[in-house]
Amino acid sequence: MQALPLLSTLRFALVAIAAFILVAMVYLAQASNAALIARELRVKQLKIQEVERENAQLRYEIAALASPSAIEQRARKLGLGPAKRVVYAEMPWIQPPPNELMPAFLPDANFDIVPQTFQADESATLAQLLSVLGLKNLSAYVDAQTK
Amino acid sequence: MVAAALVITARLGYWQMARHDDLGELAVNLRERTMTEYAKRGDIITSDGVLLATDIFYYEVTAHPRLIQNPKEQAQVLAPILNLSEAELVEKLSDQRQQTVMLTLTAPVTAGKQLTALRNAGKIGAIEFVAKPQRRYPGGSLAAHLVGFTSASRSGAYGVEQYFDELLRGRDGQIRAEADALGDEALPFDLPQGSPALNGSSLVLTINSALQSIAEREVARGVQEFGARSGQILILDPQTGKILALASYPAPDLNAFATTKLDAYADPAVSLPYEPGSVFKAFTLAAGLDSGKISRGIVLNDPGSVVIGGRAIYNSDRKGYGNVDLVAAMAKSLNVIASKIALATGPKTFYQYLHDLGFGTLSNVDLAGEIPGTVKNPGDGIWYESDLGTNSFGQGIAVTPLQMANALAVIANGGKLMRPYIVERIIHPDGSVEARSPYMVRRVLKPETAAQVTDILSRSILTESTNKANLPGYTIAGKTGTAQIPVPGGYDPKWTIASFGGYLPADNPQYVILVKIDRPQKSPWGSQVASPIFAAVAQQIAQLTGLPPDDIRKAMSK
Repeated sequence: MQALPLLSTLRFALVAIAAFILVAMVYLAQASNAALIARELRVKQLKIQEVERENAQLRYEIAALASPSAIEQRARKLGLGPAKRVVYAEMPWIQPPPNELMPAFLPDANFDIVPQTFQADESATLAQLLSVLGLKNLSAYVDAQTK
Repeated sequence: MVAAALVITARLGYWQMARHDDLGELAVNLRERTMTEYAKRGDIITSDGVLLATDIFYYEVTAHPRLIQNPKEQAQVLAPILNLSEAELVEKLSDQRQQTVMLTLTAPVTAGKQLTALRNAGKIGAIEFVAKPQRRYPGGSLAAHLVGFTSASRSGAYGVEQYFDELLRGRDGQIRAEADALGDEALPFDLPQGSPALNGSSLVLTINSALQSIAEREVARGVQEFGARSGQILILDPQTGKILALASYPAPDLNAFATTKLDAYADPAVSLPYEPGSVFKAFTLAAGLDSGKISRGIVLNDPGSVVIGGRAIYNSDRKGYGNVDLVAAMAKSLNVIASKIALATGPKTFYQYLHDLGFGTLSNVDLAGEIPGTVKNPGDGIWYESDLGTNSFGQGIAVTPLQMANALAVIANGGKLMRPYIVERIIHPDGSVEARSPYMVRRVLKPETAAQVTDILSRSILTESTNKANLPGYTIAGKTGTAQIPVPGGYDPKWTIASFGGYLPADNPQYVILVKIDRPQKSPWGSQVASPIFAAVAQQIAQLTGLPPDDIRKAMSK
C-alpha cells in the first residue's frame, strides 16, 4: 500500500526533471540562435564597413582619373585641341534642354568667334552647316534629296 | 576539517561576493576592448559633381616581434601586401628588443582584406592592423586655396576645410567588442556596444569645375607670360553672389601639405589686401551718379591736375585732357576727373557708398581667413582731405579681390550687394540636404544708376584703343587698373598690380570676372596684362556655357 505514493513522487520528479530539461534546451537553443544571428550580423557589419572603405578608395581613384587636369592631359595626348572656329546656328526646331547646351571642355582658347546667323529653314540650315564643315558635296546631295 | 572547510568557504565567499564586481570587470576587460571607430570626414564636391576632397582608409600595421616565431616566413607573406622589402620586414619582425614595431602607416584598404584572410588561415600572427582615414584631394591643386586641407590631426586648415570643420569632421565612435589578445576584433561573437562613429556632412560648392579649370589655366598662363609673381582670377554670379571660380597662382598641391609652407595655402582672394588702382573709379563714378552730385551727361574739365587737401593729383601720364565726358574719363582713366567726382560727391557720402559697397568690412563669405581691408574714414584721425582724391582712383585704400569682384557685382546686378558664398548645399549623414540661398545684404545703388555705370563702362572699353579686354560678338563692361604697390615710406618705384574687373553680357550680366596680376615684368599696365586674360576667360566661359553672342541672343529672345 505504501508503494503508490512513492511511485507518484518518483513520477512527479521525473516529469519535473523532464520539464526542466525541456525548458533548458529551449533556452539554450534560443540563446545559441541569438548568438549565431548576432555573429552573422556583426560579420555583415564588418563586411559593409570593408566594402564602404573599398568604395571610398575607388571613388577617389575615379575622381583622380576624371579630374579636369587629367582629362586635359589625356585629350592633348589624343591630339585634341581648342576649336579654331565657332559657328552659331539658329535651329528653332531643336530645343535642347539648357544643361545640354554646354559643349565639350575646352583646354585652350586662342581663337576668334565668328558669329553667323542661319536662316530658319531646315534644309538650308543643314546645307550651310555641311558647307561650313567642308562637306559641300554632301550639301549638294542633301539639296537634291530635299527638293 | 571543519576549520579548513570554513576557511575555504570564507575565501570563496570573498572572491564570489566581496570581489564580484571588480573581478567580473577584469574578466570582461580581458576579452573585450574599447576601440575607436573613426568617422569619415565629409566630402567636398563642386556644383557639377567633381570630387575635390574625400577620406580614404589606410591600414596602420604593427607587429609584436617577441611573439613572432617565424619572422622570415611572415616577412615573405607580408612583403607584397604591404609593399615593403622582405629584408626590411625580416629585420623589423626579428627585433626582439622591441615589444611593438610599426610596419607601415599607409597599407591600402585592399591590404586589410588580405591580412584578415591570412590571419584567419593562421599564416600570420602577432600582427595588428587598424584602418584609419586620411584626407585626400583627387584634383591635387584644383581649387586648392578655397578648399584648404585637413592636417594629420584631422583638423581643417584654410578654406572651407577650416570654415566648415565642425560639420565636416563628424564624431569618432567608441565601440566595445570582444577581441583577441592583440585587441583585434578577430572573432565577432557579439554585436559591439557603445557609440558608433557619426560621419561628417558633405559640402557641395558653388564652383563649377570647368570654370575653375579655365580660371586656373588662364591665371597660370598670365603669370608665366608676363613674368609676374602671382595672380588671381575670380568669377562670380552677380545675381546671386555665388562664387563660380576662384583661382590663385601659384597653387599648392593639397596632398603635399606636410612638405609645403603653410602660407602657400592662405587664399589671397580673401586674405591678401591690395590697392586696387583705377578699377576703383567705377565705384567713384557710381557714388557720384547715384547721389545725384553728377549727371550722366556731365562734361568735366581736366586741366591735368587738381589740388585736394593741399596735395596735387595728376593723371598717370601727367597730361590734361580739357573737357571730357564720363565715357572719355573712364576710357582714359583720368585721376583728375575721378578726384573731381569724389569732391563733388563729398567725403561723407563718398565713404558711405564705399562702406555700402562692402569695402572695409568683412563680406562674411564662408571661407576661412577673410580680412576686412582698410578704408580710412573722415574723423578717423588718420584720414586727410587729400585721401578723398587718392581714394577716388583706388590709391590709399586696401581691399581684397573678393570685395572688388563683389562690388562690381553690385553694378552688374542693378545695385544690390549680395553676400558672396561658396557652399551651395550641405548633405548631412542622415541624407537630409540643407540648401543655402542667396542673401541680399542691402541695396546700394538705384537700378538706373547701375545701368548708367554699365553703359559708361562698356562704351569706355570700346573707345579705349589699347584695351585688349574686348570680346568679339559680346558687349562687356569693365575697368582696368594699374596700381602702385605701397612700401614703407611711399610706393614701390618698379612694380605694379595689373588688374581688370568686368562683366558680361553687359545688358544682362551673368559673369563678373576679376583678373589681378601681381608684379608683371613685361608690362606694368592693366590694359596690356590683365585685359587679354579677361578676354580669354570670358571667351571660354561663353563657349563652355553656350552663351550666344549678343546679336544671336537678342534674335532668340524676340
